[in-house]
Amino acid sequence: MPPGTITLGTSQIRHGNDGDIDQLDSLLRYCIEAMRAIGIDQWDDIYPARSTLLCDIQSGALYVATAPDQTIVGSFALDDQQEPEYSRVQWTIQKARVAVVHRLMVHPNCQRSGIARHLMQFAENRASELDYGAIRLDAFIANPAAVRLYTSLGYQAAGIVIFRKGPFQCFEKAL
Amino acid sequence: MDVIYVRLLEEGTDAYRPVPATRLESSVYVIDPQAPYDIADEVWEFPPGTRVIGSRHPRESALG
Repeated sequence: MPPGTITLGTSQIRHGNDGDIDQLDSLLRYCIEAMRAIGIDQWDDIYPARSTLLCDIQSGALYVATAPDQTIVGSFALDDQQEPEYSRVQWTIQKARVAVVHRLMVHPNCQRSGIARHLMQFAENRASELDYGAIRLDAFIANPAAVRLYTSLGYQAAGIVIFRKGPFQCFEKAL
Repeated sequence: MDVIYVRLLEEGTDAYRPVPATRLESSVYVIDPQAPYDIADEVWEFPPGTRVIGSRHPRESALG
C-alpha cells in the first residue's frame, strides 16, 4: 500500500491523479446539483471549476476516497494556501505551519455514511505527518451539514468571512 | 416561492437552513408550511408556517 493511503472499511483514500479528473468533475457536478436541490447555493459553474481540481491534483494537494470498484466517492484538497480574507479572521491558534482544507465533497449517494468524517480524519493525520500544527477551513453557514461536521470533529469557530456566495464560517483546530 | 435562510438553534455556532418561503410584502415572508422539518434533527428559529421579516446580507466578488 503506498504511503498516505489508508483503508476505511469499504473505501480507500489516496492521492488524486490526472486520470481522476473526469470522475472528479462529475462528482463536483453531482454535489452542486444536490446542494441546489435543497437550496444551498454554495458552489456553481464558476467555483470550483475543473481547472481548480486540476490544479489541486498537479500540486499534490488532492486526495480521493474510492469505493472497492475504484469509483471516486469523495475528495478534498490539503495545502497551505489561505484565502486573503483569512487575514481578517481572529484566529486563536497560532502555529508556524498551518494547513488548509479545501473543497471537501462526497457523492450525494454516499453522504451520511461517514465518508466526510473519514476524509477529515485522514486530512488531520496527513497534516500532522507533514508537520503542520493546525488546520484552518471555512464552511458556508447555510450548509448545516458541513457546519455540523466540523463542529462535531472539534473544530472551533474563529469568525465569518464574506465570499462571493455569502458568509462562510471559518474554523480552526490544533493538531 | 423564494428561498430564505432560517437560523438554526443549538448548533454551537452560526448555521442557517435554506427554506422555501412565500413573499407577502416587501421583506415579509411566510415559511412554507410544508417545508421538511424534523425537530429531532435540527431546531429552526422559526418553524414552518411562521410569518417572518427577512433582511439582506452582503456578498462580495471574491471566490467562495
